[in-house]
Amino acid sequence: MTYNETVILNVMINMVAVISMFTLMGLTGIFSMGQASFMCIGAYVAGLLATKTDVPFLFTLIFAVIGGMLFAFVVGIPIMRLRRDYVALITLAFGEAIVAVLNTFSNVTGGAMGINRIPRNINLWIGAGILAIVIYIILNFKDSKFGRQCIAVKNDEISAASMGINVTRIKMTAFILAGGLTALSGAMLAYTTSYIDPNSFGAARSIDWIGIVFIGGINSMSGSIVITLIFSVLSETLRTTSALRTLIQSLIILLIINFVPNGLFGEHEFKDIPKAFRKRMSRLSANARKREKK
Amino acid sequence: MMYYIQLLINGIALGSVYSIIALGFTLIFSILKFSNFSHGGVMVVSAYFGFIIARQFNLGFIPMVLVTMAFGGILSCVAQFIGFERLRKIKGSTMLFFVSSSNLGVLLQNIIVITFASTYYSYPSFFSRAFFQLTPDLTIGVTDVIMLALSSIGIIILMLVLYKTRLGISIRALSMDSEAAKLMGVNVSMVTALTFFISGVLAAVAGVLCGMKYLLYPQLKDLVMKGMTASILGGLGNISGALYGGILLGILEIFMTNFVGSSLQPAFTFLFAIIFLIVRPQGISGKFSKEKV
Repeated sequence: MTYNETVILNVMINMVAVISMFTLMGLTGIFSMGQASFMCIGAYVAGLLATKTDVPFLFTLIFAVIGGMLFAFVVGIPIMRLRRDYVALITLAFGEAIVAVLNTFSNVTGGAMGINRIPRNINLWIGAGILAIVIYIILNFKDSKFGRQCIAVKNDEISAASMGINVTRIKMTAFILAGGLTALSGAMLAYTTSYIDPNSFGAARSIDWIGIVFIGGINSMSGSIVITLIFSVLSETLRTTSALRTLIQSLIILLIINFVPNGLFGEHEFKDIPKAFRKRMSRLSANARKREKK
Repeated sequence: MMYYIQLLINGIALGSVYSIIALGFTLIFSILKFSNFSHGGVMVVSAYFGFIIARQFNLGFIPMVLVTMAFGGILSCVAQFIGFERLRKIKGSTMLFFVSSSNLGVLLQNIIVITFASTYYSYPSFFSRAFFQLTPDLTIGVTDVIMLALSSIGIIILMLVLYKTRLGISIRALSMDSEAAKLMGVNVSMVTALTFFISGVLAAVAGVLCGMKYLLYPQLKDLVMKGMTASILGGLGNISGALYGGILLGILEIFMTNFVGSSLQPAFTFLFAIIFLIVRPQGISGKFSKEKV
């Protein structure tokens, strides 16, 4: 795998992860500070299966997703019926617990040394395929009955509940879906870098994703994707000083919070462009016809 | 037997620091109804500030703590002004407060990373001895005594301010209903700024104590998580709950470390928190901060 390919694959991985964060924050209004720990779970499931067993590549991805969903389910049970603040705090503690477990059982997980020599089974086409599937799923999820219920829950839990929406179940669905997606991005990461260790999945990574979703606009998935692209380029150019990059990103977020609280893309999606274009065209032609009549 | 008493003492000393973190965190939660993740950032920056002034000016312990407290308060006010003032005016959603506060926390931490790099520093030793011998079997570290003393003084002053002064009444009124408080003539901006000041002072105390107990490094910010867990155990948004929750968490962590080892201790603490939330979601103190329509 060439250097350029690795860079592009990393951008795709980030996009999958940011999209999963978008399902939580953007669609459901859940704020998970420990989302990166699901990435860790996905990476470890895929890495362990790939190095210790001979499960086929595709199945390791599926197992990673299932693993992420299972953990999301277990963590979600106590917190989804409570205020949103609990999700942020408990997921943060969950991240620490996962790191502690991985560091302790070093005979299975390699401890702080992590897992080495994971085969690089992934290539650009597989990455692009996964990304396309994820985008397709989430776009449709956003327009489905579940997605619209999620948005109702985000805007106001109490009024959503009074409309007959089972708030706990909707939040749980979104949390499990996002857990699965993040785990998928983790599995992709394991196959791309061929090396994983537990300490690179801290809260900083989750906060990074939160910032990216926010800058793009909490209600717009296109925004998340575009901003991921921009920041990945930025972090490639500033690779030697990651602290500086984080600093720049935090300052941008502060500016946006104070002056454009809806994010750069607001409510807009790319797939609305043809519709808006057609609307505008028909209005223009209608105006032209009116002028002709006069 | 003596051994367990020893563990208990250590647990309470550790817990008192967690209580201080939890109090500063809960204070903001009770008036603005969001989890203030920037609390950890204020803690780290204050801890480094205390370290610098202690080394540069050869200050003793007490003047150093006082100056650092003032610094922490002002820093927290500035952070409030940059991050939350506008949001509060436009009545932004909780999500915006979340993003803003976690972002501020990262920003403050990264300022430290850039200026000091990720190297470890340690506070100069302010005291001639390291621990007191209570009985032949019982010892208590000087840092632990100071932690307990400072935390207790801080908590007593905080309680006096909250329950005996005009400012305290305004803060509590604001935490119940900000609109009604405003109509009753409370200057909301002023009281919010002052609450952030108090919370920053508490963060500075916690930062200095943690810096003395552990080493000084940018990841000290993550200790704010302990404060948050403590306030969950005590009941989110409940001030006396934060106090109990901190002590409980401290004792729990020391006993867990003793029985399952320090490497697995975060996992068991997490399990305990999850089970606790299933059994008693309203926390020890048993009062939910209710969500209003």
